[in-house]
Amino acid sequence: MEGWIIWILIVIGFAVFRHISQENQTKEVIETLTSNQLTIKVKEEIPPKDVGIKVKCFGIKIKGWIGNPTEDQSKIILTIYDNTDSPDDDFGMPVLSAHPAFCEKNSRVFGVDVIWKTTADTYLTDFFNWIYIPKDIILSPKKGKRKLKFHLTVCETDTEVKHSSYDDVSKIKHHASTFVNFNFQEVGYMDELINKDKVEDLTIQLGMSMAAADGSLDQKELNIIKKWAQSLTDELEKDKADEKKKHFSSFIKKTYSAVKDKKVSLSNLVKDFNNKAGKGQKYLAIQLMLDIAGADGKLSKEEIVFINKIAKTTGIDLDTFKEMKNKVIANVDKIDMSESPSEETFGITKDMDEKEKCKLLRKEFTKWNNQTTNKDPKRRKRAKEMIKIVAELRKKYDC
Amino acid sequence: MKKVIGIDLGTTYSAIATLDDIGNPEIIPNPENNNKITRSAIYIGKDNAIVGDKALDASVTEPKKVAKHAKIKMEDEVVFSTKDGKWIDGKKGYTPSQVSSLVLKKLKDYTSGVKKVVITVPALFAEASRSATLDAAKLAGLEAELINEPTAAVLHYANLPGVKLSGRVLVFDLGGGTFDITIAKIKDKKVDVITSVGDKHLGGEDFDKEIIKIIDKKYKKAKGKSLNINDAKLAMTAEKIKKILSSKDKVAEIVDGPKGPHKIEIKREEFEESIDTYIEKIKMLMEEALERADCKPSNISQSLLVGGSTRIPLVTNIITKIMKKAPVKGVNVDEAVALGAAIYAGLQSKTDLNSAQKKAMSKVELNDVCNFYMGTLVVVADHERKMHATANRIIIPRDTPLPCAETADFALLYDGQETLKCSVTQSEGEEKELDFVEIVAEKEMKLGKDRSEGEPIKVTYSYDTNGKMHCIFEDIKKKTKVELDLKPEGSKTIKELKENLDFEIE
Repeated sequence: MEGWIIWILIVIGFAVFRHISQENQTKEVIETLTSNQLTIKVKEEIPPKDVGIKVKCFGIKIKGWIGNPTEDQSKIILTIYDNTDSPDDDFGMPVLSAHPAFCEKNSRVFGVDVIWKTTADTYLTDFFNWIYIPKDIILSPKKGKRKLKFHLTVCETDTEVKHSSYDDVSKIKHHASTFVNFNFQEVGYMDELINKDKVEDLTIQLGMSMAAADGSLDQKELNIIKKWAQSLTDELEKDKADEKKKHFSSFIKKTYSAVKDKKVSLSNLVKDFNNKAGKGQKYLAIQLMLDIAGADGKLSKEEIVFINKIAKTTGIDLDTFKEMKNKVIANVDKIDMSESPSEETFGITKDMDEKEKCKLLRKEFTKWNNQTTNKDPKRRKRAKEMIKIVAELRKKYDC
Repeated sequence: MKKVIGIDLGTTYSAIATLDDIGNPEIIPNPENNNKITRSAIYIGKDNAIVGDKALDASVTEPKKVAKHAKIKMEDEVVFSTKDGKWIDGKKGYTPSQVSSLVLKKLKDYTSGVKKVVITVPALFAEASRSATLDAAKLAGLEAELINEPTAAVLHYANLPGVKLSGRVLVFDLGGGTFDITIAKIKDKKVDVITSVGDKHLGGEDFDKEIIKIIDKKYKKAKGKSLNINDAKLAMTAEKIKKILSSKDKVAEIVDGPKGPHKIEIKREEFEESIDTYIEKIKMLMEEALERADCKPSNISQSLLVGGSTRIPLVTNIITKIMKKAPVKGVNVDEAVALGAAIYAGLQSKTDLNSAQKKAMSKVELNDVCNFYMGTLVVVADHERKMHATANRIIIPRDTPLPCAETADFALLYDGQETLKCSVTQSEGEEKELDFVEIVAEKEMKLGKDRSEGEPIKVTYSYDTNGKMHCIFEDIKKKTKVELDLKPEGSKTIKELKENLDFEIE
């Protein structure tokens, strides 16, 4: 009897052993298959010199199957989603691109695709550096820490992607995803939509404060603000436009009193604006302020100081700001230089050393000297005045 | 044999030169007084015109009838009014081209058989000014080609017997009303221009005005009343003082004013202090030229002087300080430009030369550059500001060696676009903004119906050594073209140019 029991145990043991052994073998096969599947890796890096991009990028590396059994070429597509508020196997809101090279056709949604010659069994044995995406061009839906899902697919060549959605998922032959956490400093595009009304009001408040910077707020300046507010209603339906116009009229009136009575805290206003406004909205506000500054045909020292200060805090590109400002300077009748040649006009700051100041002034000289042959006599006159101021300042700094 | 002629049409003085029988350039003096340079001043009488020193003399008695500085007015839509005695906006009077044509006519008459000439212009004269200069030539009965003043000067220096120049040189051209700096590479008689920068409103006349201010201040302090600072006699006194201060430390002159004559003494330091803003501009332009040529002062082998205002000691001191080497001296700075223009005229008309002249010209070679950024207007997505805007796109960058041809690819902006504005822009700086460029030519292209966004448009600009530019805007799909030519041929007809000009030169 004991002999039988031992025999049964041996048989069962063998069966168990065989089962375990078979299971391991299957696992091995699966693992081998997985290692050849399409894989995507994203690395934050500055590309090699020959790429020609000098800023920090997301380097996209791919490995594994890229073959297409139905054609002799494959379409490789990369999409990016904000998966912060979505499960990993789901697809969150698409991210946008600030550069057309990384946009889907006729859209601002991020999307990159390329067609490669392949066979049915083409695969990349090692990670291949496919593309570098400058980090600055990616616009997420929301500001702050976000979880980005980089989704890579190998598809049939007629596959179309619109707003990060595929026209036919059966055309996808291989796919892979990976996640990257990224902290977005800029206000997201959804934030912009949510904050739109508030940002418009804040812009009006900034404009009013700008108008009052030289000590007086006149009708010409007010008209610029009114015109700007009205332009925001141009494309709205009549009911909505009327409602908005009513709001702006009362808000402008209210802000006028608040600014006149010095009840607007500029620091709080700027802080609030910077937290809520997107880059495009910031430029629009700066442009409005510049238009207000030049509305009366002269640019006062106080106005220049005010606008320089705001521009600096918004984090907009200061060279672009300078170009915008120069356009106003070139068109106004008079620049107030009553006290001394104004360093503020050229953006000279106290933290610059003499050498930097001299170099900056020389660049300003070149800029304005180029305008001394402008067809517009007013522009030529302004250019000559600016050159004189530059030369005076250079003497002051003993350049 | 046709005469080979070069003319320096200056703000305050002009000169005419030719090639002698063995190919050396020489100034043709005024046969009336044997002067090698002629005042660019014109007395405009009822039926006659007087050009030169005599015109300036007339300004003492009839100041309103004497036109000066036509050259620096070339870019403006102004006329000289003999009623107001100044350049004014409007149509009643003489245009800068008409006034300049009288100077050219006068110079032309110093010799016989002059038909074809080379006229010098500041390096940064824009299309409008060049065109106006050619209009002046047309009006004077001359067929003209233009050359940049510092380029002409460097040609003269490179061909000076006994002067060996090689490597990079800096030409410092400070005249009566304009200032240019050119950096060029010289090897034997081969001149390659690298870059030119300049100021069309800086010259000896500005220094004269500063002296007038000093005189006026001193007169007022002594006599309690101001002088008439627009008085022609006072201008002549100021110029005289400036010239004396180039060789002496101080000068004293009797000045007549509303409270009687007064002796005014001016020291050189006072004068130098009064022009220090201009000197600062000169320093900045020197820095700019060196930066554009991508070189340091130590890379410049010689600094060459051109123009009467380089006689001012402070100017030479500044050059010496910046370049750490004294400039080359020994040539007549008033004649260098005209002499260089004659050499260029020889280069341009080799068939008109005798064998000795041909031999002299055989080794001379000049390669110039494009002095402006030439571009076109396009609509671009401004990613920084998140908007679409009209922007200037450069096709030919400034300082590109001539001849050159550059192509850029663009695309239609939207579905259903029916027309395309083809524009040619010019700017001294690398400007992106529409507001800071000049549109020098413009034409509309009809695209037809059913056009799609992204369909290609090819733009090709070609610029030859004679300053002629040919621009082609090509619709690749429809194979149609819009062609624009920028030719330095003057912009007006003789009939248009002759308006108001109903007198003969005396």
